[in-house]
Amino acid sequence: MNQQNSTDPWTKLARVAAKAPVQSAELPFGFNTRVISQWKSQTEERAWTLVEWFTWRGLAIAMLVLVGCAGLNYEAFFSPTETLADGEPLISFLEP
Amino acid sequence: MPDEPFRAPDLTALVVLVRDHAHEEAARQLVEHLYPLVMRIIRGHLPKRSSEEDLAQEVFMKMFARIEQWREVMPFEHWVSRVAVTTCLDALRYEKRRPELRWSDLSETEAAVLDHVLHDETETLVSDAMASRELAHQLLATLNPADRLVLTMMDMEGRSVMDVQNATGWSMALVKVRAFRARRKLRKQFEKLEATQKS
Repeated sequence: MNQQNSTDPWTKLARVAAKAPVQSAELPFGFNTRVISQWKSQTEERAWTLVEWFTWRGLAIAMLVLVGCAGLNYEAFFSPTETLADGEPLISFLEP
Repeated sequence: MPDEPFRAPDLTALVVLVRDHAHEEAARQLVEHLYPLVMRIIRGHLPKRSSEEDLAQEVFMKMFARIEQWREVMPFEHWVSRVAVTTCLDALRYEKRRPELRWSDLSETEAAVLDHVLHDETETLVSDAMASRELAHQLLATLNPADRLVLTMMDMEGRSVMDVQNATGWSMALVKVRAFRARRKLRKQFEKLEATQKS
């Protein structure tokens, strides 16, 4: 105990209070199971959160790649298309 | 058949099993072993709290969530005590209630105890330790959480400055200053209480 004035009311009170019997702390029924199941569910939740995190990032990257490819091939997608007239041989279309 | 001698579980081995393999039985044994320690801390700091079991559960959840932060340089029990103390401190901060204590709020026994500590110069101790404890907690509840924690540990539990330092992570000087200021505040509380008795 700390060296304090023994006539100080708080010191006197604390000294007596410290002598009060301590309640027993027995593990309540089911407490252990409750704690373990909560811990387990949180661990699983954390694992799922990780999967979710990677999935969303994967999706974002895939979207970026898609947009990038679309941008690079803009002309192929949006230039006016030449069509073959009926009966025209394919070779004439391919020749410059 | 002779009884087998009681063997305390090897906490380090249990912690390793929980940390590295999420071993359920090891976790169960850890909770069983540490429950009395955690409850003693909770009851010491939050005697009025009805949901002490909920708080104990919170302590164990934090323990499992942060178990990777534990290093073997510190005994596991000390580390768990620290988790429990900081959880109690957070709970005290959350409560925010700092009731004003008046003489009329005290029970007959508590008033007798208070009268004794205020006016009796002798070292004769009051017989009702439970009432003294109750009164001490009521007085501590008027302080801010940090001051309350320091005085509970040092004056009620007889812990050293170093113990408080280990449990809270505060510097030695800070612990001493907090204890000094908290005792001064309590002295003022005693004066106020005495004034309410006279009025």
